[in-house]
Amino acid sequence: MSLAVGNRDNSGCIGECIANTIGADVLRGNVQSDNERRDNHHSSAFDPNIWKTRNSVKPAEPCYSRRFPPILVAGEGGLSEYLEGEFSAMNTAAVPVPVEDVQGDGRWMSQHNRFIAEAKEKEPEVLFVGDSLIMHMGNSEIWRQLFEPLHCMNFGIGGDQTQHVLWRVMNGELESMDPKIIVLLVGTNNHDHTAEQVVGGIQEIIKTMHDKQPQALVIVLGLLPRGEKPNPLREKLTQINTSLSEYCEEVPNTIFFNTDWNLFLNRHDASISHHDMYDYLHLTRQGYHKMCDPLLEEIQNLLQTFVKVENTSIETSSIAGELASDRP
Amino acid sequence: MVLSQRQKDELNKAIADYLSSNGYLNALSEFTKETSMPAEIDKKFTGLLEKKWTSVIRLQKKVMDLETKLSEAEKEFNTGGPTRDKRSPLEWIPRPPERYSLSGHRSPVTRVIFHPVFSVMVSASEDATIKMWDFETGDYERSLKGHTDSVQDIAFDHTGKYLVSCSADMTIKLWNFSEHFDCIKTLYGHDHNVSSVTFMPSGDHIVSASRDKTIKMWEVSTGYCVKTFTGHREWVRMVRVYHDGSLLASCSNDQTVRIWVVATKECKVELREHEHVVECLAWAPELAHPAINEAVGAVNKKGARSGPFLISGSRDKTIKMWDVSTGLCLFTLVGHDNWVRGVLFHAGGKYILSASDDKTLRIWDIKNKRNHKTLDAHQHFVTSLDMHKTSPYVITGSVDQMVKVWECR
Repeated sequence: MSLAVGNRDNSGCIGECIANTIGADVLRGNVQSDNERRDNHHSSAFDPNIWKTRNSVKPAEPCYSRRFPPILVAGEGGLSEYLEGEFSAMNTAAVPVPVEDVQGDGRWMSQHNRFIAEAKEKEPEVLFVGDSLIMHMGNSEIWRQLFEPLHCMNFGIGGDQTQHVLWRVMNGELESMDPKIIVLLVGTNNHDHTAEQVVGGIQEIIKTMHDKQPQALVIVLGLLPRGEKPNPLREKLTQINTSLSEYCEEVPNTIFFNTDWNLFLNRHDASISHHDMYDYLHLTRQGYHKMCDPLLEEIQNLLQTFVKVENTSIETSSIAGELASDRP
Repeated sequence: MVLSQRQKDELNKAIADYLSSNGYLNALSEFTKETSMPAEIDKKFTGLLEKKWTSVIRLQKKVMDLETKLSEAEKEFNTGGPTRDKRSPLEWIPRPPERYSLSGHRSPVTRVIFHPVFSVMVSASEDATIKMWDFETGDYERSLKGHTDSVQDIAFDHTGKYLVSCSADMTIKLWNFSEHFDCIKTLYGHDHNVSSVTFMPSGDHIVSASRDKTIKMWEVSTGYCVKTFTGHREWVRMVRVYHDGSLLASCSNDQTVRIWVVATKECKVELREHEHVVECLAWAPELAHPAINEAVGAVNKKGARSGPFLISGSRDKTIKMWDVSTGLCLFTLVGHDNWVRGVLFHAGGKYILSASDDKTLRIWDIKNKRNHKTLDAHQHFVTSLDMHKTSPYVITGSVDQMVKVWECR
C-alpha cells in the first residue's frame, strides 16, 4: 500500500497537526500502524480477494501522495525544505479538520455533539451524512413522509466541506450504531480545492466509513449542478462526479448514485430554475422530489422495505387530483 | 339515451350559453338558427353546462367514497361478528376514533401502561419524565421526575402501590404510587441503557434487561441485585415473567428469544426464527389457549398443546407465536409494514393486539391467524400499547409524543 491513506489519523488531534508543518511528520508516523490495522481488519471481515481489488484501485492514489517517499530520510535542513515543498502539495480536502468557529457561537460543534448523542440511542438503518443539502432534507416534508419510516438519521451540517465531514466521521459520529446504508453527499462547498482534491477528500470519507461500519453499504451521491447559468464550477462538479463514479466502481460495498443533471437543467440554455433551487444551489420541495424519488427507490430496493404513503405527489395529474381540487 | 323535449331545450340553452360566454359567436348564430331558439337566454342557464360537467366527476367521487364505506361496513357486518350490542365484552376491540388524544410529553413516548386498580394510566418518555393521566376523564394528573435520560420502560406491581421505571441513564427507580409519589429507591448495577423492567408476580423482586446484554433480578426490600442472567449476545430489549413466576422470556438485538428458568438462571430454550431485532414479547394467558389450539388445528383434547405460549414482535415486521414447551414457532402473523414495537393478548383471549412503526394498531384474530382490524393510530411510529384487564380501554403511545385512549366496543 502506498501513502494514499497517509493523511488518516485516528487519534483525532489531526487538526492541530495540520496547524504546523511538522505535523506531516506525525502523519507519516501513523501511516504504518494505520495500514496494518486496516489490513488486519479487512482480512477478517472481507474476502481477501476483495481487499486486493480495493487495494489496487488507481484513483485511490491521489496525485500528491506519489511525491512522498516511502521512508523519510532527511537531515534537519532537508526536512524543512522538503516539508515546505510538500505542504502545498498536501490535499487539505482530505485532512480531517473541524470547522473554525468564526461566529463564536459554537453551533457546528453543538450539532456534531448532538449527532453523537443521538447516534448512541437511536438505531438508524440508513444514515445520511453531508452538507446543507442533506441538512435541509432533514426538515423537508419528503423526509418526514418517506425517509423517517425507513428509520433514517440525518447528520448534515450546512457549509461543510469534505475535510469537515471527514473530521466528524472520524470523531464519533459513526460509533455505537449499525446502519445498513450510509448516504454521503458532500463536496460542493470545497471552493478552494481542485476537483482531484475534492475527490481525494471524498475517498477518505468513504474509506473511514468502511473502516468504522464494514457491514454498511455506502451510497455516494453525485454532486448537483449549481449556479443559474452554466459556469466553470459546474465543469469542476462534472469532473468530480466522473472520477467518483470510476472510483466507486472499483470499491466493494460502494455505489455511486448520480442525480441526472437534466432533471434540473433547462433543455435550451442549461439554466437552473428557482423552482428547483431557490438560490441556484439549495433545493426546493420540488427539487428534493427530483433528487430523492430515485434515491428512495434505490434505498427501498436495497432494504427491501416499502413505505406506505398517504400522498406525496405535488402535481397531481391523476383523476383523483382533479376531483380533489374540484370543490365548488 | 333519450332526453325529454324539456331536457333537450334545457341542454340546447345551456350549450348556447356556453357558446356565447366563450365567444364562439359564429357557432352560436348557426346553432340558434338550427334549433330555432330565442335570442335571449334565461339567466338560470348561465354556466349550467360547466356545472353539469364538473358535478358529474364530483358525484362520481362521492359514489366511490360511499361505495368504499359501504363495503367496509358490510365487511364489518358480515365478518366482524355480531353487531355491537350483541357482541360479548370478550370480543370488544378498540375502534376509531380515539376517545382522547393527550399531549404533554416533549419527546417520543416510549411506554404506556394501565394502573391495575385505579382509573389511571402512566406514560414514559424520552423526555426523561413519567406522566400520570386519568384515562376516563382524559385529565393530566402529575409528572414523576428523577431520571436524567430517556425512560425506557415502566411497570406496576400487582397491588399498584409501587411503580418501577428504567432508563437510558442506566438506573432503575422504584416509586411509591400509593402516596406522595416519591422515588424511594434507585438501583445501580447495569453498565448500559436499561431497556425493560417488570415485577415478579409476588412483587418482592424486580427483573430488568439492559443493553449490557444481561438480565438482572433485584430484591425490592434491599435493592440488591440477587441474580444475573447472561447469554444474550447483544442488547436485551425486553423481559417478561411467566405468570407463575418460574420462567422469564427475553428478546434481543441478537434476533433470538430466550426462555430462562428463574430458579437456576439457566437458559432453557433459545427461539430463533426472526430475521431482525426482536422488540417485544407477551406471554399468553390461559384464556387464549383454546384459540391458539384451534389455530394450529388441534381441536380434540388429545393433540391439544398446553403451552406455555409466547408471542414476539420483531423489526422483521412479523409477530410469531411460540410453544415454549417444544421450542416451536406455531405460526407467524404477517401484515405490518414496518417494525413491530408492541404486542399483547386481548383480555378475552381471542385476539392479539400489536403496535408498529407503520403507525397502525392492529387486531389479529388468533383462531384464523389473520389481521382482523387495522387502526391508523398515530402520525408517527406507535411505540407501545396496553389493554386494561377489566375496563374496555386500550392505550397507545407514539413518537408523535401523544398518548391516545381507545374505547373498545
